[in-house]
Amino acid sequence: MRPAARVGPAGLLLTLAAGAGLALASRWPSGWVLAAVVAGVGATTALRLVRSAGLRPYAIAPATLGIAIAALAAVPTSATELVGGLGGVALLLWLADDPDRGPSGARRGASELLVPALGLGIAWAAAALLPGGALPFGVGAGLLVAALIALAAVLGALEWLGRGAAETS
Amino acid sequence: MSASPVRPLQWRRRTLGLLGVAGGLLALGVAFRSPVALYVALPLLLAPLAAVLGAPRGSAGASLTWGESGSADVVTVDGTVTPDPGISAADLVLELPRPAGLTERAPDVTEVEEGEIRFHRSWAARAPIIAPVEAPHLRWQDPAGLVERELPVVGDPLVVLRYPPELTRLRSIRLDRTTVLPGETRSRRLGAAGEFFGIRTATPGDPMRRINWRASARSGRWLANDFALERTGDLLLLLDARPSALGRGLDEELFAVARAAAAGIADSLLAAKARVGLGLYGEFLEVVPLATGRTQRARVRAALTRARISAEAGPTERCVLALRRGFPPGVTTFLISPLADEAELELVPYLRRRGYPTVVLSPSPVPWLTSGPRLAPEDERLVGRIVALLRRRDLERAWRDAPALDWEDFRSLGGFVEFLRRPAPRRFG
Repeated sequence: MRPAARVGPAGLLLTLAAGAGLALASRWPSGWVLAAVVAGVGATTALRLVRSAGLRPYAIAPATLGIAIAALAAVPTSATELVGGLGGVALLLWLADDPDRGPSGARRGASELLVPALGLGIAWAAAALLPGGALPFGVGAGLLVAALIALAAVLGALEWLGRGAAETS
Repeated sequence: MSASPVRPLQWRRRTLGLLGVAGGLLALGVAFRSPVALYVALPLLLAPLAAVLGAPRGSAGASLTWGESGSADVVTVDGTVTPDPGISAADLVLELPRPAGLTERAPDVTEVEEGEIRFHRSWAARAPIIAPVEAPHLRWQDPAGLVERELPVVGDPLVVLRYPPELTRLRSIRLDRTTVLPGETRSRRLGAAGEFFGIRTATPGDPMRRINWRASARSGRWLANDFALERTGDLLLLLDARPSALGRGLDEELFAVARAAAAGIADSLLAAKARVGLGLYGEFLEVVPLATGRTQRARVRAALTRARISAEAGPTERCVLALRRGFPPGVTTFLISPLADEAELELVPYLRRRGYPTVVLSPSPVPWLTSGPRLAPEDERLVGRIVALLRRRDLERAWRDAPALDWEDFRSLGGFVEFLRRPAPRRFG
């Protein structure tokens, strides 16, 4: 696999964009926050390029740390909340674009990102658009979506409860 | 037939990390009163649930088509894994364990193409080998690698078998029969003796006694007789699977070589329509009775493939007594044993006394014994000489009761085959 493909350009650009967006709306000095984001994204990129298979599974950790710092520093507005959520989705996209699992990982991962993106959209829309615009609305909506998805997951994976396909003889 | 058991979904370590990070962000978001951190955490928390939703059913699986090729020490395995409908081949992770005794010749190749996984493995066999290749381990993983499930793979079993090529010349050896009426099985081979088969044009090498004088006089050209050779006879392959003084590791190595040689001998003689039986003696005797044909070849191969050195050594007398129940005295017996200790050496006179004409093929432990921990060159030479002398002493002792042939170069059995074709009174190697 070529180095560019190993890095996962789609995940890298989206994560960097989300991190930069949060850094620009930071309560702390933007330069330092941006530096933290760039350092995290850079470290993830480097880890994805190393030969050691033992380190690669943890490559996403530095970028996650960078986004987390930027999120904590960001001024809470509707826009930064949306950018922060998109940053989380971008991290998942980058995670799905695994260099050890062949090409077009980002495309394959898109279907799996649908549910988190939907949950994020509902939570953000509830917080931003419903009357009052209060945070508890968003958090409540997010928890509702999470509960629904957890229920669907349990129903969709019945074998977890020991009720798998009936054995015939 | 019962359905394959449902394989549970398993979280991967990465998921725990992701959930830990998301939980940390939630806590920090609350502590710093930062809703942005909560929004970052939300997709991370939902991702594992989304992964579970996309998982295949527990009863899903895949079919396997594969084969083995190559010659001499080259073992090439090519195959295709086709998952059940609804499962993307790109989401599957395939691992093919390499059987013990094989080394890697070239890097593994695994490609995902058009809804299936194609794999190519190139291995090298250092010594004769008969080993089953385990079906590939197949795991479904969601694209983000958060959750996985093992998928059962259904396909034919595959066995790697390599033995010295000289064994194919064994077909021409003569074996004694042990039954008066051995059945209707006839050899497909033509030769100089046996039942009349037909007439053909004589060739310059034909001896005078093969010429059909009457037919030649009538036709005005030289004609010779052909005869259908009789079935070659019966053979018992006896492998000593008892643990010896050499230790478990070396016992296993030598036994693996012995199993491959036995498979080669059985293949060759079964192809010549001989009846071949197998005895594996560990703590007790496991027997494949005398028979011929392809089914017998499969039986012998299956028994050899699963045979292992036993945990306990049975007494020598028990082996011979058990043999008498399964095989008539007088059947030609090839004993394959390293003759590494007293119990193994004892078996040879026991076989002779019980009426089994025996030839011993003895895989030599000497190459392993002399390649141990590094010694000074002088000491190494001394150790080598002592080991060789002890080995020679053991073989000479076995020779008192039966021809015992040392097998040190595992890539060749030329000496053994030549001995069987033209037995010499006394010979080593």
